[in-house]
Amino acid sequence: MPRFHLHIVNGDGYTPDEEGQELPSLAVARHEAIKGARSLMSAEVLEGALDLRSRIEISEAGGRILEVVRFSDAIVIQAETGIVSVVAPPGLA
Amino acid sequence: MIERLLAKLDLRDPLGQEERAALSAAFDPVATFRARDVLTEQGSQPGKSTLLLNGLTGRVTTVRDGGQQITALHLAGDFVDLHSFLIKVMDHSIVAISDCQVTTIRHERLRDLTTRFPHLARLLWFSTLIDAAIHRQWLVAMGRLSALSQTAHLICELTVRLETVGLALRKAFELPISQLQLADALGLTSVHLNRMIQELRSRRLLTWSGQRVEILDWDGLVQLAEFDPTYLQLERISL
Repeated sequence: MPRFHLHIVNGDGYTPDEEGQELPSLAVARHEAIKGARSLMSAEVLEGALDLRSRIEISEAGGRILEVVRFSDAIVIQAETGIVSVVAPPGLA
Repeated sequence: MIERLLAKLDLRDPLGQEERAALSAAFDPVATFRARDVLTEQGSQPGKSTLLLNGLTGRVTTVRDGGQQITALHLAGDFVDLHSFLIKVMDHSIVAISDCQVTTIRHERLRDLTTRFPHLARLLWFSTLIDAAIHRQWLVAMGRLSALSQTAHLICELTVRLETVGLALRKAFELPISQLQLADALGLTSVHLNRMIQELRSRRLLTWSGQRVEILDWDGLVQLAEFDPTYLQLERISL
């Protein structure tokens, strides 16, 4: 099985995936990247601030980037007027 | 052969000469497994219990979508499935995380040993209570700590457990586990875990290169993890 690396690019900078993982196909790697993106977003939501500008770059073992999964493409957001900026009321920040 | 097990038992309550000799003589010859081998299958009824001599094994439960949860990690000197002596049907599998060597002890021998040596029986019982205490801590960490603190907590625990068997000198040790498997132990995605390890590195708490982990700031890691080693019961007691 080929080895895929899922590198994180977000507000903290670049987190390379040095180890990578053996997966049957790029489609499965994409699925893993989406799961990973959603898990990072979940943690961010729990902290109260979600950054949808982050992305995961899928590369092959040699380093060539095969695909980019943007966090904003990994979830469906429903809001009254597109993406809403919410300011927490005092006491909840 | 079973020095690391004896070291762990002696740390809590030293064995007498007779107990030590009888326990040492009860084990079968060494068996070798490769990483990913299944030592004991979920649903099976093993007639013997496994003692890990070196390497790393895990208790693994697989869910319907193929996902896995590693509910325990075992290190050299750990009795991997002492509980199968009394539980009979395994509710989880034991899987080799790294290449490893094990020895086994047949259940009828355990029955005989625990009948003849009640103090040894209490010590073995005690060791399963520590297993249970570790499960409780993992549950607390998984349910109530941030992913970062939970990851730090597991690193603290593994450091201390490796120290008790002489495998973590100056807070540095080999951890032959893939990031994917470590993620399965923490209930995180491998992507999330990679980010957490990077965060521990960038806070200068540890270095992690290949399988080599070196703690740079133990106090800082302990504080982040809210780690209190009481549950590992490292004190001398009289059983």
